[in-house]
Amino acid sequence: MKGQTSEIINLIILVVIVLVVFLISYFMISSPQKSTQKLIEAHSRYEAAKKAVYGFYYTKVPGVSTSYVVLLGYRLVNGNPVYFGDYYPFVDCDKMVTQYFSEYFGNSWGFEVRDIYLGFKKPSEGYQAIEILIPLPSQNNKVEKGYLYVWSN
Amino acid sequence: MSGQTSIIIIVGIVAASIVLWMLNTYNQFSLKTRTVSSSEIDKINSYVDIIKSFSRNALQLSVHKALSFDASRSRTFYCNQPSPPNFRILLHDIEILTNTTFNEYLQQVKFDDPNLNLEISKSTCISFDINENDLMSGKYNEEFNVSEYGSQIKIKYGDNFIQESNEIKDETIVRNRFWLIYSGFKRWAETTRAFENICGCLQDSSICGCQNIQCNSNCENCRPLYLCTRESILNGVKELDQIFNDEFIECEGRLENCVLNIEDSSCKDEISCGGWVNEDCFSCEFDNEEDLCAGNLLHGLARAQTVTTTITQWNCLVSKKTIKYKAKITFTCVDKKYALPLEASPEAQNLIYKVTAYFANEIRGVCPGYITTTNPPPNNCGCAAAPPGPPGPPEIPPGSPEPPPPKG
Repeated sequence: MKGQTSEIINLIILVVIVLVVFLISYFMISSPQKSTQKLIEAHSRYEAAKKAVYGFYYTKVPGVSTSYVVLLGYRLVNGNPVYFGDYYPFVDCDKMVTQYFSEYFGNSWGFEVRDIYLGFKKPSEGYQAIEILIPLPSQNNKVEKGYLYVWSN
Repeated sequence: MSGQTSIIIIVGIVAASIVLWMLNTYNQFSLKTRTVSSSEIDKINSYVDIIKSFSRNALQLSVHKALSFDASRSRTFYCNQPSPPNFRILLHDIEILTNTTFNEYLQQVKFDDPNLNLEISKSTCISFDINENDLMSGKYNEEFNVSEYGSQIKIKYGDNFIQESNEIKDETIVRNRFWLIYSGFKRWAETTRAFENICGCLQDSSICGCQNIQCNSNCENCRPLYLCTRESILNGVKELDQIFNDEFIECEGRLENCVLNIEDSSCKDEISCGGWVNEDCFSCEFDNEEDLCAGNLLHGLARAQTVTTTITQWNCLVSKKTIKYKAKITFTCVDKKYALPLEASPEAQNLIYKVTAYFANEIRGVCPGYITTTNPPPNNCGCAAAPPGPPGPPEIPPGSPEPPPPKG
């Protein structure tokens, strides 16, 4: 009788162990590992940043029918605020760019071009950077490179 | 039996665990590989999209720059008659310049990614979708389309390679009223009456006392002519203001250069004003001076007679002049509505359209010169006219003898 009871307890323990092993395995298989998870997160951040950057090239700044990237080019060459003619005289480029990226990323972004930094202080790591090429309306047709940083809260 | 069962179960569990671990590892590896691979393809696509987006914006800047440059070239729109630039040539010049600027932008496209191998071929052609007939109707006053052809993007990233066209179709250019001002100037050149007063001015006797004005010297040296030219310029500006009738467009005119050449004319010349023939539109080279009456007044003596109480005085027309006058005028219209993307002060960012107008007139048979002599006048004098008023043109007696040469 004592032997039978012990056998049953052993079996129960084994069944429990099997179940635990299967459960752990299920979660291990179904959820990505930490490194993969990071990669996926980075990828999705990059996707979001990409979307914002496309918009930066195509979206027209209200009032002046010029893309944000061209507005930024004006600003880099001639300073802020940008003069747009008597019809719509001045546009505060820094303010417009800040509003634009904040709509996408809240307070988890920063934008850097030359010695200008807009947005929020970026963390020392765990951020995604995407390059933005800015054609300058300068006399020598230069292209400037800006960096958009995005990170998770 | 129970011990054997336990061992079998334990072995089974261990085996299942190993299998699961392997499956998990494979799955993670596969997921990572898929993620990395899709990330690479995404990156390539992303680079392509960024380059294309960049190109569209660069094309816009290139167009603005080319138009701004062309506007500042002071093309000739009037040269004694309406002579606006040939539209096809003008457009071709602008397209070439746009293409050059656009390719300069493309050449500078670079990314920091060391895994990226990027090659962008140059654009071969820019096409402005501008029709000359529609142009004059104002269709392109506020916006027009430009296309770019020939550019290709080749990207290699890791094992992935992509090649895509970087052509741009119908990019709309706004905030540039180049074509509005061009068509306005063209209309102005074809209808202007601003220079009609010049011939009248050249008959003003006060000009006869002016010294010749060489190229690049001060046009104000002959004040009456300067004032007359200034009036023409003001008329031209008024006409332009009427044509544009736009609160943002301001026009002005400026006399850049003038040449005045007063030379002896044939005494037989009647007053006639026309274009300064055989001249380039504006050149500081003069025609070879012809000997007309100069050097021998005798051949030009006209006969006139005044009778005084003691002696008979002959009032003789001895010379006439030909006045050649040409001027270069620049009309500048500034569109202050929009600032163009240019590296300049705010004032210089407006579209500044400069146009040159030339006129060159020659009037013959003016500035009659007289001498008074007591000698009898010639009977074969070539000059027919004598001055009115005192001493007055007398009747010319037929058969008068040849007068002696004047003293001095």
